[in-house]
Amino acid sequence: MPDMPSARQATALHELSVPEAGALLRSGELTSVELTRHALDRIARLDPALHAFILVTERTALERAEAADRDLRAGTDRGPMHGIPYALKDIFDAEGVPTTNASWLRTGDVARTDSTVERRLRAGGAVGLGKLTTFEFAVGGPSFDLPVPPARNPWSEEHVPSGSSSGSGAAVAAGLTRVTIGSDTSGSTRGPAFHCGAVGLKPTYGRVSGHGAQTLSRTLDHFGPLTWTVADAAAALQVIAGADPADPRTAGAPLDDWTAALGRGVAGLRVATSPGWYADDPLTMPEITTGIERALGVLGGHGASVEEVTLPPYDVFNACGRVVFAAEAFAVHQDDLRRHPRSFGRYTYQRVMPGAGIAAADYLRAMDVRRWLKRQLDETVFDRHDVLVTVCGQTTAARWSDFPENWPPPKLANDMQTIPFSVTGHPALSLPIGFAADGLPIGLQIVGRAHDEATVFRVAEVLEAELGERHRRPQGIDIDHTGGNS
Amino acid sequence: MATDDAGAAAPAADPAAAVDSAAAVRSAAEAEFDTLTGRLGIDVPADLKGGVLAGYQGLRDMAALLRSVETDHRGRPGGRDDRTGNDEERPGA
Repeated sequence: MPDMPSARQATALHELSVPEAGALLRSGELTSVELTRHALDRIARLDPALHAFILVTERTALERAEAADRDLRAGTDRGPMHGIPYALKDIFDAEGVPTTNASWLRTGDVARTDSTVERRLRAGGAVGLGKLTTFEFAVGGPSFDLPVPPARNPWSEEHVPSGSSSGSGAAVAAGLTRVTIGSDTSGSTRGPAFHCGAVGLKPTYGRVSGHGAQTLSRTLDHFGPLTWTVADAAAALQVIAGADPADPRTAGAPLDDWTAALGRGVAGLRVATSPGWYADDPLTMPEITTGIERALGVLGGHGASVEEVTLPPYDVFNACGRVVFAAEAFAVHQDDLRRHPRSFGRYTYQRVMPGAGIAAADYLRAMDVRRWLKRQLDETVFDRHDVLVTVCGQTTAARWSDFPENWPPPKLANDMQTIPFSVTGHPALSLPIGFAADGLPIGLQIVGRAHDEATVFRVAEVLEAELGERHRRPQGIDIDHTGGNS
Repeated sequence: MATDDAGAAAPAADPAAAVDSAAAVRSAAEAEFDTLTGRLGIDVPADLKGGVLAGYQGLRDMAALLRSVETDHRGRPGGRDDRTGNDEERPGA
């Protein structure tokens, strides 16, 4: 009988999950240098058309890969991301590397120290490939008036990848890297994950430190992984999570072993669902509604119970998040808005400037409503259920042509229902569940109790195995896209 | 897109009246916004103002909606908060 091919031989390196690659690194069948060179080669070949990366740190990536290999040979294992390539949204500082925020206002700013996220990944033996494109300051839009072109959606040149972690979504979907770290203030990790067919996790508020990352909205900003699979996300969260004295927002909640939570199934879990938010909304694509129903059937088939719940009106969550977001984002950028209005991208200026008009009383009212909404969500859902499965995006990715000269674009291009869980701080994961008739990815959102990412991962893993289509990559991206189409 | 700050207008029975009403609201919002930004020493470039005002009008509507929500936080005496610690900073806590 001939030898069976090893996982290494049978699978292209970018198709190895983080745990699979980690096992091969530890067994000596694969080196981090090989894995890193493979990623760098794909970036060199594919990114000229995708524009996912703002900066590729090739030399330091290979140095870190060599160090990771040396450590493993010497018996030092730094954890689940040891030797694994990753990339950061370009709002996170990495010592000696520019943090541009995709803004003319930050061109030339070189970080003097690491952000906490970068420091933890570095200490965990992971291999930084570089910095990823973002909407300007993690807020603007898919703009052509910034120092860097917008990232492209690998599934379709006519559609945007969503944002603001647009480079993260594009890079992961195209197989340039398995792991990226993004930020999510109202959906900026979950949105591009949804529209690019990747996994995006907004952990519980305070799970991951924002020290050394650009602030957008101090009480809504969350930081988390955008990856190809659920297991990749669990591995990344394991490394970047934890209390940080440098960021008072970080919670002291104990860390779970999220990689160990995988494989436990969903038998006995109580799942809530809330079709009242989306099912009768004409904006919602039928494939998304039926996809969520199919997912609930899968969970039922695996021994979970499913119950419909009625949540407070979506519009109240949305209004609460928008008012808080606007006031806090304006506070961050007000000096530059006053002194350098022309240095912002058009969309960024038009999205941040309205916050100047929020009265203190309205901001505080929004914070009161916010606490009430969190209690309502806990009482309606999490007192009796383990997770909420609900809509993430209501339509597939918007077209470039949907975006007018001035913000805002039409509602069609603003289809996400992610902000409620930014408001309440509960962990929420965007999971791909297949494709719509237009060939673009669709997904759903899994929301857990505060600090219970483990159960979110368990549910996501079961659905991913049956609906995730992780074998399917964008077609045609392996050809040479010289020139792009910007 | 992951964000949505557009305030969609509801359809009205009388289109002409609705146009007049919307114009009046827009004019009031613009005057209010100009006063506020003037106080802050901010000049909004004319070519950017349309998008800014659209966003501001949406926020005005949302703030009004929040004022109308019945929560058990209303009437808290003396601004005293029932929270312990700084959970404004920790909404997930």
